[in-house]
Amino acid sequence: MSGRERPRGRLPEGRVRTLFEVDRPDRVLATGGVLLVILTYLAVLDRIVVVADGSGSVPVLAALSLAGGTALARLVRPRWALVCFLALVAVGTQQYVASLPATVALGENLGPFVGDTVSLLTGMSILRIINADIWALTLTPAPTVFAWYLAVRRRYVAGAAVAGSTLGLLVLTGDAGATTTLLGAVGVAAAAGFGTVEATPTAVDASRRSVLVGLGGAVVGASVLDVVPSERAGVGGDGLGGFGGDATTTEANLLADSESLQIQGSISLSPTVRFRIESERVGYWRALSFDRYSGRGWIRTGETEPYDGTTAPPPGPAERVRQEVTLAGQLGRLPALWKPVEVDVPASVDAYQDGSLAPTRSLREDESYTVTSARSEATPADLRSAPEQYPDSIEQRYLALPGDFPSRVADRTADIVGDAATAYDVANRVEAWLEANRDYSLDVDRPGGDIADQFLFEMDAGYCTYFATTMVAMLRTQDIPARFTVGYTPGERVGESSWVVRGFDAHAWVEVYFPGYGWQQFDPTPAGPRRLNEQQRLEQARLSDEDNVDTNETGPGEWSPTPTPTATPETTVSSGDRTATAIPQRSGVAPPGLSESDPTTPTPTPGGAAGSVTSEQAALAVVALAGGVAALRLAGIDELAYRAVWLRYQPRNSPLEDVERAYARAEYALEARTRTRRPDETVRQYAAAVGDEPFQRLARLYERAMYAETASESDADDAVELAAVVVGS
Amino acid sequence: MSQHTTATAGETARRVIDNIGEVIVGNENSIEHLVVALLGRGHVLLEDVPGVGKTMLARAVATSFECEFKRVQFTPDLLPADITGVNVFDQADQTFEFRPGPVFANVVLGDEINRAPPKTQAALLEAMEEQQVTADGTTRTLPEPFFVVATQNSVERDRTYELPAAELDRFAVKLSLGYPDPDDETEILGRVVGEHPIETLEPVATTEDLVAAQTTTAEVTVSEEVRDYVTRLAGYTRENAQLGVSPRGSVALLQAAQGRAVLNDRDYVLPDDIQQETRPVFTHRIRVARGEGDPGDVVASALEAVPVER
Repeated sequence: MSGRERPRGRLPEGRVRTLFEVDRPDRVLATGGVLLVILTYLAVLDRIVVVADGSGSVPVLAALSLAGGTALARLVRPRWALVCFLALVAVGTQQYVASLPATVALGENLGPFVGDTVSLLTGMSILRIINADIWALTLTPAPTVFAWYLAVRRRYVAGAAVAGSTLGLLVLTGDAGATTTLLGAVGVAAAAGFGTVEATPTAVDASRRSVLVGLGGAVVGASVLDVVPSERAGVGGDGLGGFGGDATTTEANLLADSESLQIQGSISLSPTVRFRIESERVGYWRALSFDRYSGRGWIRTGETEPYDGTTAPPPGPAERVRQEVTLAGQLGRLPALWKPVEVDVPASVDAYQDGSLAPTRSLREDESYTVTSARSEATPADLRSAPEQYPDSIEQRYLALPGDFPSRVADRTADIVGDAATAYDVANRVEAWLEANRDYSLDVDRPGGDIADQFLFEMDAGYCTYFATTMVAMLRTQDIPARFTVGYTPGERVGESSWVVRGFDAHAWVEVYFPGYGWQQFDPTPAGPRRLNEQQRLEQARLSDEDNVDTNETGPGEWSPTPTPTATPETTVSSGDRTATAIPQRSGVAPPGLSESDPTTPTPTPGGAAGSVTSEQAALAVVALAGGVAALRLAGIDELAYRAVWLRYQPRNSPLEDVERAYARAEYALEARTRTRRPDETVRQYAAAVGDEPFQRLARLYERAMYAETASESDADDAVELAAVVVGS
Repeated sequence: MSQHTTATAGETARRVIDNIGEVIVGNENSIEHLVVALLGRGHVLLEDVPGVGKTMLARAVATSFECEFKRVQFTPDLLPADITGVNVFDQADQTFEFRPGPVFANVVLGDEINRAPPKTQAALLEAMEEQQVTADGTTRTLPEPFFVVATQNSVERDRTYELPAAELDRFAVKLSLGYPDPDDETEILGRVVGEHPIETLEPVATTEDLVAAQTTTAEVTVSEEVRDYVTRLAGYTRENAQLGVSPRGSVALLQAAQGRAVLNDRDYVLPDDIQQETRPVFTHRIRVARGEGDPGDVVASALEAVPVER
């Protein structure tokens, strides 16, 4: 084959070469492997741009890059291609830096830039970068052009290395899912394997193959082990909050991770007491909020900075409320009324860009902190009259929806809000609609596809995460800035101004921005069924004597509130004309009509596995199955199984074939017991060296059959009998 | 001409080997190879230092089969006619009468064949190949059986005419007896005291027995697998030496292997037979480039590298 003599990577002059040579399947496969890796990371980048709702198009950019790579491969030598690659990287970096806020000089940008890179490599999602879309778009061309250039130049392994490194970066940031990573690993293995075959026509020797297989196995194994759990839970159980590694309680799901939140399927309630709070005013004890919606969960973007002790109070009328919190267990957040302006915490404090504060270490049991919050006193009338011109920074961050967000959500929302004139009315109607039209249930299958879309169109029940997610998404379709907020509901009232908060009080709700008044809280979750669920869980825990369920103040029916619960000024949520989301009252007695055998009692579902199989899981299963079959084949299991049958069962044929097969069986069995027959060893030599007497007699019969081509029926009988003796012994 | 069964032929061959052993002490392997070559109708080249019993071996073979034995001492002035024979003018009858040369015998010993000029060597080699001689335009067939044992001195290389590769190729096997080991030499010394054993050696088979055994040998089954094995062995030498084994060499190996099978009372050839005969049949046909080992190494690695079964 003349192609073999041609030096690799160098094209003969004046000769146009087709990319896919039918007579060289190894080349086609190796090229396909590189392309597969390129496509996997492009898919991830595309997803990032779509989620971040960027304006550029990864597919277009990728097509241009592939065309550019092909052109380069025909025109320039590798050295110049490398220069092109570096130039593209430089241009991309420059573009990204230029997109950063202009307030910071380039020199000052370098520090955070390096810091960002380090945190990306240690698992920070790219989506947490503010300009994630630009970051992804600037990353697209350079590796694509270069990897494809190398593939076209038949440097498959180098091409796969470039593309694989890019994918590897995305794996490290956690943005590439298990399926994507697997596909990428398959591509790298294919490119390396077939590329090697292509480069060395005399076949790949076993040792090299075993190295490749080992490498592939390591990559695949690592990706499955690492990525799958993070897809499952979205929570590392980092001990930060003391929420435990079990992400299936509402609390752990909502509060364990301050950077992102993965929406779960079924979930359970934890009755453990978390903290006791002394406050003149009651409301939702807010921990933090998330701004970027990915369709599957929530991500908090932006830097975390050390808290310098000053927080601007919310605009508009506000009341200062001092809260003293004593922890009953480890906690890594500072739940307090919105908006905290002064804190006294026995640890240093970080400020998030949404105005949330969090301790840099977990606070321990019996530690306490005080927070003074400036609580907005805006009235519905105020909010209705608020202007609807939002600052750019608010619009940019809190109006974004994924690029592929279903448009039917906007249509349905427009129907629901009808002729609502102000943002406040829109928010109220959405909140009321969700409360009235969706049931509360902790036992849900996490849907495939966009959560908000599914909850609005396909599901009829969910819990707070679903309600709040959907409401934020709906408001954003109406150009009303909103964000997803997590924290705790007031909890059990144990004194005039004392509240005990348990794990199941963890909650998610919605904040809507009103110019002139700041963020106002809305809760679309039906409060009644939620509290009922929590109460049942509490009683169940008390019955089964679980630890840390009660403090000495709590317990069934100890403190009866004397004030009338209606129309209290403490209504936290600003829907002043409705009381549905007002202060939760401790209801010591279950409402009539619901017995203990109520089927809505949430059942803890360990492992958090949803009942149905998503398409992603199915794809993963198919890939894993194929991998398993391939591994079995590689390990020779299928042959072993075939051998086992073949060894013990011999159908009779002609005497010649019978003798030959009998010998083959016996030799196989003997080789397993002693040593294999060397290729240069004759039957007689092997029999003399290792065989016992029956085998030697069988070898004589075989010699006659093989070399004299004579065997009688009785020879065949003898041979089969002798083989049985040898195999059996 | 009758044909013996394999067992009879094998029995004959073993008897002859034992008989030769009476005269030649040690060297059982070489004797076996020689008899095996004889069964396969091949000729033998003995390369050795002088005085190790080359002539004795040839004579013992002839005696054992009750064959006519002739010996030609090759010298630089030996002429082709000295081997093939000459036409002599008979004065009385006024006719030419052919006086057959020494080649007209069942067993011919060509001693120190490399001392004669090429033309004379060629006369013997033509006789070996064609089993006939041509003198003055008349072609005469040589007797059956016809077996040439040629010897070559491995010392005194000067003033010799080394056999060209093409002529070496005509010998089925090349053997060397080598010095006997000390015990055997003591034994030899004991035997030559008094009458030399060759003088009292008795025939143990007839010439007809030999021809019948040769016919039997030619009939031994060679399976496809064995032929394939031989082809691959020869192919290996061609790829790994300057000059590899010719197809004639492959044929010679098969014939020797047939002889080996007969010696073991088998009417089919095993790869084992091939392996045993490969060395003496192949080695003298291989040329290696200077400084790249010797032909024996090539044969050894061929036996190691070529798998018995495909």
